[in-house]
Parts: sequence; structure tokens; C-alpha cells
Amino acid sequence: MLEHQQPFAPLIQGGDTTFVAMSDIQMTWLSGWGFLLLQSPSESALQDALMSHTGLRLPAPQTVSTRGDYALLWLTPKEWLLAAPASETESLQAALTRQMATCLAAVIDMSDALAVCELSGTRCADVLMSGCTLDLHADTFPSGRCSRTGLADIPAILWNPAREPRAVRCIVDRSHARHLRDWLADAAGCPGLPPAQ
Amino acid sequence: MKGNEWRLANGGRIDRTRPLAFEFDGERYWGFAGDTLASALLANGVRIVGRSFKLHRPRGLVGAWCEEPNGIVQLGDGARTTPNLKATQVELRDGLSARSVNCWPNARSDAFAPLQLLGRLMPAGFYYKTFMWPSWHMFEPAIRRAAGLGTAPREPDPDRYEERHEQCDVLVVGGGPAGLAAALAATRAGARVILADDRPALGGALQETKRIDGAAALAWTAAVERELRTAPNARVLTRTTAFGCYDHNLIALSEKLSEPESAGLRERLWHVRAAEVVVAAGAIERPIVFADNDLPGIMLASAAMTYAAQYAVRPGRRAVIVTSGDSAYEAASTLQTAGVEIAAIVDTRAEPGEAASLARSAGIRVMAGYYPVRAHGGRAVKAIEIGQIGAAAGRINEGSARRLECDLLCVSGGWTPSVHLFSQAKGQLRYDPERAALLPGPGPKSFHCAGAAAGNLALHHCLTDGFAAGREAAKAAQATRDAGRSPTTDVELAATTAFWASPQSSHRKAWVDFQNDVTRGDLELAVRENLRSVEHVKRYTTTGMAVDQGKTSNMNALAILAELTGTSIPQVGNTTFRPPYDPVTLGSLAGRHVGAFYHPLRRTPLDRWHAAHGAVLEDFGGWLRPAWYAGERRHRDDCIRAEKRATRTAVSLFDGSPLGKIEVRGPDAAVFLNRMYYNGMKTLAVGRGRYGLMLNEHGIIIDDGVCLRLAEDHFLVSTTSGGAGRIFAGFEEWLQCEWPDLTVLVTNVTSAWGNIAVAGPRARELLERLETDIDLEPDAFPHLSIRCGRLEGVPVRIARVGFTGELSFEINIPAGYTTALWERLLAKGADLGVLPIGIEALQELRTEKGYLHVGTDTDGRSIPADVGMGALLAKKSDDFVGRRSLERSDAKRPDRLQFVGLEAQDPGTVLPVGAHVIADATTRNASQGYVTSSCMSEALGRSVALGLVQAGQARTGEAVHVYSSGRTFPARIVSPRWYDPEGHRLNA
Amino acid sequence: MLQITCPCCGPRDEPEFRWGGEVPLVRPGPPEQVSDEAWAEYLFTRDNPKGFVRERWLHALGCRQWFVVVRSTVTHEIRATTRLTDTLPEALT
Repeated sequence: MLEHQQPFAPLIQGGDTTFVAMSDIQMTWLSGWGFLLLQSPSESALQDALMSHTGLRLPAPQTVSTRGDYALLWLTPKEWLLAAPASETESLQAALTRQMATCLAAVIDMSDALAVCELSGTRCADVLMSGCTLDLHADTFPSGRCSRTGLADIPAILWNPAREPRAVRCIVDRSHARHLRDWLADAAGCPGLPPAQ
Repeated sequence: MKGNEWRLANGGRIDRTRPLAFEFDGERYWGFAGDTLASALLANGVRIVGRSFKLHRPRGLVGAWCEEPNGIVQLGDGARTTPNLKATQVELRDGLSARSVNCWPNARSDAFAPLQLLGRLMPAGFYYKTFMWPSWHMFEPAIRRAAGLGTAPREPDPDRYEERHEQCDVLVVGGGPAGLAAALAATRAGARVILADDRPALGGALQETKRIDGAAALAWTAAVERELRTAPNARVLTRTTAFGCYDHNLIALSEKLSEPESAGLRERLWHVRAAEVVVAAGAIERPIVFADNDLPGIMLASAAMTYAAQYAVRPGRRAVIVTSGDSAYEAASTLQTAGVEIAAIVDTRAEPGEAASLARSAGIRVMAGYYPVRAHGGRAVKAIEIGQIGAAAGRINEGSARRLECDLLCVSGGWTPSVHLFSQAKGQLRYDPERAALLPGPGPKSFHCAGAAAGNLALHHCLTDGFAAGREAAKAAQATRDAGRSPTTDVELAATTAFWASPQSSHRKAWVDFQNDVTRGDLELAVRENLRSVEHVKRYTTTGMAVDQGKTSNMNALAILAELTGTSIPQVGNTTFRPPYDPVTLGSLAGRHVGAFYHPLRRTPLDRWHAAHGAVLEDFGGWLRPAWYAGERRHRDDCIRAEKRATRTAVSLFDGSPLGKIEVRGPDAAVFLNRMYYNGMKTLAVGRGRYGLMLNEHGIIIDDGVCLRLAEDHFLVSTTSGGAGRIFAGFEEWLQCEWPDLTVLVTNVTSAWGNIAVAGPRARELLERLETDIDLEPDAFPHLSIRCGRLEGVPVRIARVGFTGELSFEINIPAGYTTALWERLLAKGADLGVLPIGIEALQELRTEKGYLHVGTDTDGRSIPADVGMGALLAKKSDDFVGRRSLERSDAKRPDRLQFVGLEAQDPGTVLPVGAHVIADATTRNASQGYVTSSCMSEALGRSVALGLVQAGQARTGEAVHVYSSGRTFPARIVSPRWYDPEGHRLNA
Repeated sequence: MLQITCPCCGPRDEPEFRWGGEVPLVRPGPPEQVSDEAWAEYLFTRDNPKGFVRERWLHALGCRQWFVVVRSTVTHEIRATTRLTDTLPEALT
């Protein structure tokens, strides 16, 4: 068997996945996750399959539905991203594919394609909004919200996982992980703005 | 300490406990924290701060903030030097070093000063008229040197600049009384508010002596600022200029950060999307046009007042104030308090009213109904000649001329509201003759102008106006909490009448635009030469075109034009207000898009391995990829030769991970792909692949690659590395916009899979050493087919495709296993002589094989027939993207550029890429095509090249010449199928 | 920089979008029945009116959906945005 590396593996040193840690902001690569990209024009069939294997409901546009270790992110009108523990992705993929066999659907393992960086701390929005046109303040980008957009000149999915503590997850293509890390570290180094809004 | 002779003993908003040393034009001075460079220079008695642009006349300070046309300085040295800053806006700091621009060696004694004597010879349009023959471009560099402003730094900027996006309900531009009142109202109403002001401190033009809501004006300002800064829904930005309004209420703000808190961050560029905008940007006082009105010592009344009140500087000993309105009376009283002797207030109004009586009762001499005729003095103003306005227009009354001695002449020709943002937002301006100003007229509903920007100069108006605007704006943005009542103050006088230019003066020395040296005489000349449109006059005379964008000159120029053409100001119209309101640094606009962040590079899963093993990484189509592996510091060409040899004689590994991988599935997948490819894809058997070209609707080749069929309704499309995103987007576009009836799902899985191309005669031997359930034998797994299975226990998709012409397996493996597989292949193949190869070797291998590379060997005109694939068209009956364009007569022209091989007569000569193919070596006048790829082929024992040549396919064997940079090479057009033309190695 | 309201994602800034030209644009076919003139018309000729125009835009960095925008070529005012499948009230164009 061959050794497997997480999408951000080349970017970590000594096993430490945190690459910026200051009093008001911290940035960490999230590990142990798998991602399945779900595409299907048959929403109800997909809903049934998801319900029976994960207990998840299809989320409304630009939101995330969560249950236990699972999270389902809305991406496009016919596309969702299922986040699950890495150890379960293979079996989930098989189970969902089996159940969706009769209708058109794609259940594609994107675990190796996506890197997830979590920013936490009070300066989240300040750092991100230096390279993103979305309004990411906590009141306009509340928990449970996810949006595909541009961040640091690359495509990204931004996801606010919880009300407290303040955090935003950035999901990007693995090929951009290094750029994102360098860019975020550089942005975090800029002095803070006076707290407002 | 010496110096600061002109500093007042008390008052001002400077910190006298913090003296700061600075340098100007090589001389050392000192000032205080809170000074600007301009106020500190005045405090030290420096009167000449610059030289005029064209004629190098000595010039002194006219303004006290962004309106300043003369005090243009270059700040600092080396990489941080900044050109063309206004001394009035440069905050003084310890060790600051500045020099005047457009003069040598300095502003006081300028070697170019004799140019003044040529003034008569250099009217408007002088350069255009004089330096026509033989060409303007011959004279331009010398003229630009003589008339240039500052110099740009030569080194990269060491400072940081940041971008910031923000959204708000109400953006208030301007932190004077109107802006503060507006921000207060909107914040209290519950709106998300941003208040931006370009000065270091809020308050705008508020004078210390005023009282608001019973408190001293500055105490009131501080209280409002505190309330705003502690409100959760407001943000206060100082040193921040709102410099432009763009589509859909996007306002650009440039924030300058003060050291040392900024930690190397120098400026922040805000992109604020504001639902509502309150423009409370104030107004700029106008000079009056009369002869020699540019002498040092002549300044705007408001500026003189600011220097005295805010910076505690006495701008002169004996002042004359020339005004057409009430506001300058306040300046007179402020200056008097500061110890300046007021020789007289010259009011152009015959009946100046209450303001004049108040001044007279304070013991100030008011001369009503007089206007300035000419200023006297050389390097500084010494006196002003005035005369009484006569009954006949343009004449002074006989015997009314007076001469008033003074060393400070304060002028006030009225106020120009700063309506730039409103105008940029497509708001219309209307001329108000009563206030002699262009005021905001009908405009976008989301724009609210208030205070002096709306023509209301009096403080009580500013406060009520601003507060109402803030409340309105908040309400429009659905913030309707009770904002309370507006702050109030005493009613004050603010009447003004129009007075632009003195009729009787030497027009060639009556300056309209100080910065660009434009006189009333220049405007007269322009009109005489029949230039009528204000936009033409502006460009011909360059009035208003300097770095100050005519802040002090535009209105005067309009009024003079109206007078000269016998029309009115509304008929003359006004020039366009274009952003930026105030100059913005290039660093600020570039932000963090410099260096490594100039454009994001993508990295393959093998990135770290490549870097650790000597790969020379370069940007190929946005991906950082190995050009070659440097190994033990061998020469580049040696490395590439070794990589090619390994591929031709043993086996090599190539990181093909960036290759585009798009999955297409669904019942209509085959129909869809058949429409997307030039080549037929319907008949492709499951497990097999087919090379195909993709065209746009113009029939032009946009990409190529192998389309592989995984199942009846499931395909894997492989695109070029740079093409994945583009082709994927194209698929979605056709499916959504043209063929929504097709049931197809497309997924871009490029990054999910690593891709390793194992190529060479011993490729199979190497793969067989790994554990796999895939039958690798040629009969079971022929060229152009795909097999799914396991390799070393990991699920893989292996395709027999390649770009080298050798036996080749492309292994697609989940990206996380790429490095481990790569290392295992290297370890298992060590005795076979396996080597990793880079892009350079691959390009040479495919060149000698005669494979074309879309975008390199094709251009924006190439169609399939041009690359030798025209015959397929007749075999395919279905429609596809671009089909109809291939039937146009142009697509069948015989002289099209066609893909061919080229051989230099000398097999040791590598033809230069880009060299032109010509028929006749002596005339060299008609290019018949050009070389697109070229290399030395060790496998063939000679150089080979590919190219696009007119009618090339029919000219095989023909001798041609290849021309490049003065050299001509004899060559021959050949078929590019040099290496293994029968494909034995490929199909092995 | 325009602000465009994507029917799926709401208001977003212009850099997230890609412009796709005037609609409707009817692709003539089948190819053997299309004259050179008709094909050239399809490839090259657009109304390019002064005023409101219907055009399609792609929310490239968002939901990747093409949709219809009614935009003024004079002022950039956007009067409406709808999904490709929705019919637009005639009054809006």
C-alpha cells in the first residue's frame, strides 16, 4: 500500500497544521475530512439517499446542513458537497452511488482535491475582506452560511461553521493551498483595523 | 531654538512639546507635531516653495490643504521617495526631508528662472505649434525634462499596501460639521455607517471660536467622534480620501496610515459598496484673476485663516484682504487676533452689508466697490493696486486707483463646492448665480449632498443640512430609529457675489491655473483661435489639467470663457469630474498584487518532491512545473538531453497532474461530446480513447486531448493543462444555454487525481514490477485505451496515451498517493535507468515526433484542415461546435497557414522559434509563415522544427529560407513525421 | 465595478461574473441549410443598442449558472435579473 498525504501535507512542518497563531487570529489546516461531490438533477432521490445514509437534509442555497460528523454544503442548484470523516468517505460513496443507481447522479470523491483552512478569531472578516468582495461580518455571514466566491484571486468556498467561536473555513482547490497559505499569512501580518461592526 | 520666527506664541492645534526637525531643499528647519510641511515652512519664513510648471516663476503657498497648486514637493530618497505631494497635506514628522520639484538647484534660486522672460513667446498651444517639424517626439524628452514635476523611485517599493472591501448603509464623505452631523444622525438611526475624512483629524473647517450645542466647537467634535467610534455600527476613517465613485455606488477610498502604528502598511485602498452616500466634502475657496496674482504672499483667505488658527502661524505682517463675500471677514478677524495688521478689506461688492459694518466697528478699514488691478512685487508681494468699479463695464473710475502696501494678500473669489463624487455618480450640476457656484442638481436618489458641498457655507446650515441628510440616507437604507434632534449653533453671515476676474489687467500675467501656468491671455487666445467647447479649451490651454485637476482654477476659467464668448456659465458647461479627486499612489492601486501575489500559481501534488530534487520550477499556464531537473549542477542542455535519452532508450516519469480531467456522464454524454469535438465520439468503444480537437464556433482549434470512454454513459475528457477550467466552463455553457434538453453531468476532477506518465521502451517492464490487477499486455491493453483497477492497492485509472511517441502509460491516481507512487516507480526502476523528466524534454520529444501543441503550433486562425485533419470533416455527418465555419470559403483558401515540418539545410542548426519562412532570401519582404517549435534531436541525429507555412502541406520537399534577426537559413519543408513514423514504438 | 444580483446567490461584485453577450441568440442549423450570410449574422452581428439590453451573464465564481440580465448600456442600471428558464416580462426589455 502507498502512503497517503492530505492536500495540505506539503505545507505543514513537524505535524503542526497551524500556520498563523496570533492573539487575534489563528489559521489551521483541517485534517481527517473527506469530501464527496454530489451532482444530480433528481433532488428527491438524492434527498432520500442522503437521509438514509447520513440523516442530512438538502440545504437551502448558500447554507450548510449538519448532523453529527456530517455536513452538507450547497454549491450550485444541482451540486452539493458532503463533508464526512475521511474513514467513511469510501463506504458512503459506495452506498450513495448504489442507491442513486437508477437515476442520473455523480458521487465523486474530492477528498484529495480540496484543502480546508480554518481562520478563527476576531479579525477573521478583516483578513478575508482584504481579498474577498463578500460581506463577511458575523451579522451578514452568520453561522451555517456557505458561499462560493473569490478569495485571494482564487475560487473558494467560504463557510461559517458556528456562532461561537468566530471562525470561517476556506475550502480551495489543493493546487491553490500553498498560495492561500502564503496569502493569508501575509494578510494576517497587516496591522488590524479598529474594531467595528 | 532658532527659527519659527513666524510662529504665534499661543494657540493652534499643534503640540509644542514635540518639536520635529526636518529638511527642505537641503536646509534644516524645525516645526511641531501637528504641523504640515507647509505650515512649518511658513512658520520658518519660507515663502517660495516651488516654481511654476512652464515658466519657472517663483510661487508661494496658496492653499492649506488639497487645493494647493504650488507647494508640490518630492518627499524622501531612495525606494521610498514620493513625488508630487502637496506640502499642505504632508504631515510633519521628525527627520522628514523634502525638496521642491520643477526647479534646480532649489525653489529659491532656480536656474530655469530666465524662462519667465520668454513668457510672451510661450502662449497656449506653444509646444504643439512650435515643435511640429520634423516630429514632436524628437523634442518631447527635452521639453518634459525642463517642465517635469517630481521623479519616480527606481527601486521597488519596500512598503505594504492593502486592499479592503466593505459594505455599508451610509457612507459619509467629509468629517466637517455637515459630515459629522450626518454620521451622527445615520448612526443613531441604526444604519451601518462609514465616515471618511481626508484630514488627520475630524472637524473640517470648524473654527475654535464657534460654539455648537453650547459647547466649544472642538469639544463638540471630540464628543461626536467618541460617540461614533464607540458605536458598534459606525466606522470612522481619517486620512482617508474618497477619490472616486464607480458603478452601482462603489466608492473608492484611499486611507493613509500613520507611522509607527501601521507597521509598514502605508496605504489601504477601500472599495466601499454604499447603499446611500452623503457627500459633505466641503468647498474650496477661489482665487481672483488679476495681474501678477501669483506672487508669493498671495493666498486664499481661508488658507491664511487656517495657518493662523490651526497651526499658530502668522502668514504675514500686514495684510490686505480682497473678497467678494462675507466669509473673508472671518479670516480678517482671525488674522487680526493673530497679530497681523489688516491694512484693508477690499470688497468688490458696492454694498457689502452687515459684515462690513461689523468689521468697520472693529476698526478695520473696508473699501467697498473696489477690485484688484495688479499686484506689485518680485519674489514676494509688496503691494496691491486697486481701483473703484466704474459705471462702464471693464473700466475703473478715473482717479480711484489706490496702492495698498502689504506682505500678505488674502483673496476670496467665492467658494466652489466639492461635488466631484456627486458628479461622478451622474448627478447633474446647476449654476446658482446667487452663490456663484455649480451646485448639485438632479441626481441619483442614493446621493445626498450637504453643507458647503451643497452650497451652504454657514455653520448652522451645515449642521441642520448634514443631520437631515444623514437621517434621510439612513431611512432610505431602512434604518429608522429616532436620531434625535440636529445640533445647532448661532446664525451667521455667508453671503457672496460672483467676482471672477478683474477686467482691466495685463491678461498675460493674470493667472488662472497656477500649476499649469495658464493665464487669462491663454484663454483669450484659445477663444480667438475659435476653440469654443470648454473641453477643447481645457486641452488646448491645459487649464485644470495639472495634478490638482483645477480645484482652484476650473470655475474661474469657466467664468472667463463665458465672458469672452458672450455667453453664460450654464451655456459654457463644465468639464467632466473624473476620478481620482486627489492623486492616488500606484502602490495603493496595486495593493498586495505584487511579487508572489501578482498572480496565483498552482502547484501539483508532487511540488515538494520536485523542489527537493533539483527541479527548475517555472510558470507553465499558471502551474508551477519542472522545466527540467538540474541534478548535480549539470548544464541545462545536458539535463534535458539525459531526460530525453531516458525516455527514448529506457523509461521516464513525467508529472502530468495539471492535465485537465473532466468527467462527463449521463444518457446523452456521447451525443454531447460528439457535438463538442471535431472528431466523432459517438462510436468510441467502452475502454477506448480517441484523440480529438475542440473548436470554437469560428472553427478555430481551442484545445486538444484524448477522450476516453469509461462506460456507455461515462467519459473522461482529458484537456491541455492550461485548458481544463476553460473547457469545463465551455461544457457547462453549451449545456445550460444551448442544449438544456441534453441529460448530462459534467465534473471537473482535475485536482482529485495525480497523473504520472510512464514512458519509454521499458515502461511496461517497470509497471509490471508493481502490484496490479490490470493486464498490461499490448493485446489486452492497446494504445489509446483506458483500464480501471488497482496499483499497489490504490484505485487507479491507467490510460495508454502519451505525448512522447514511446510506449506510454498515464497513471491517474488519487492525488494524495501521487508522491508515494512516484517514489516507488523511481525505486523500482532504478536499475532500468528511470529518470523524471520536465516540460522542456517533453516539448523536444513531441517536436521530433511531430506532435502539435495547440497554442504553440497553432494560432488564433488555425482550423483542423490546417493541421492535416481536414479529411475527417467529410466522415462526420453530425453537427458540432464550429462545423459551419469550416465550410466558409475562407476555410478553404489554398494559401492558409498550415502545420508542417521544417529542416535546416545544416543539420546542426536549430532554427529559431519565431523566425519567418520566406521564399526569396534577398528581398525578404513577404513572410510565408513562421517557425513554432524547434530543437536538436539526438534521436534523429539532426535538428528539426515545426512551423505554420502558407499552403505548407502541398509544398513538402520545397526549399525555403528561414529568416531571423538579420540571419537567413536555407531550409526545406518536410512532413513532420520524423520519429517512428509507423508507430511501432507507440503501439509496443 | 458593477454589482449584479445573481438569481441564485444574490448581489455580488462584477469580478465574480463573466459576460456572455446579447440574448436571445439563436444558433442556426442544421449546418448544411445555413447560408454564409446567416452564419455570419450569428457569429458577428449584434444589435448593440443604446439603452436597455438583454444579455446573459455567468456567475463563474459562485453557482456557475448562466442567467439573464437586463442592463442599460448607457448607465449600467440593471433593471432585472432572471434565470435562463424564466420568462421575462416584456415591459422589462
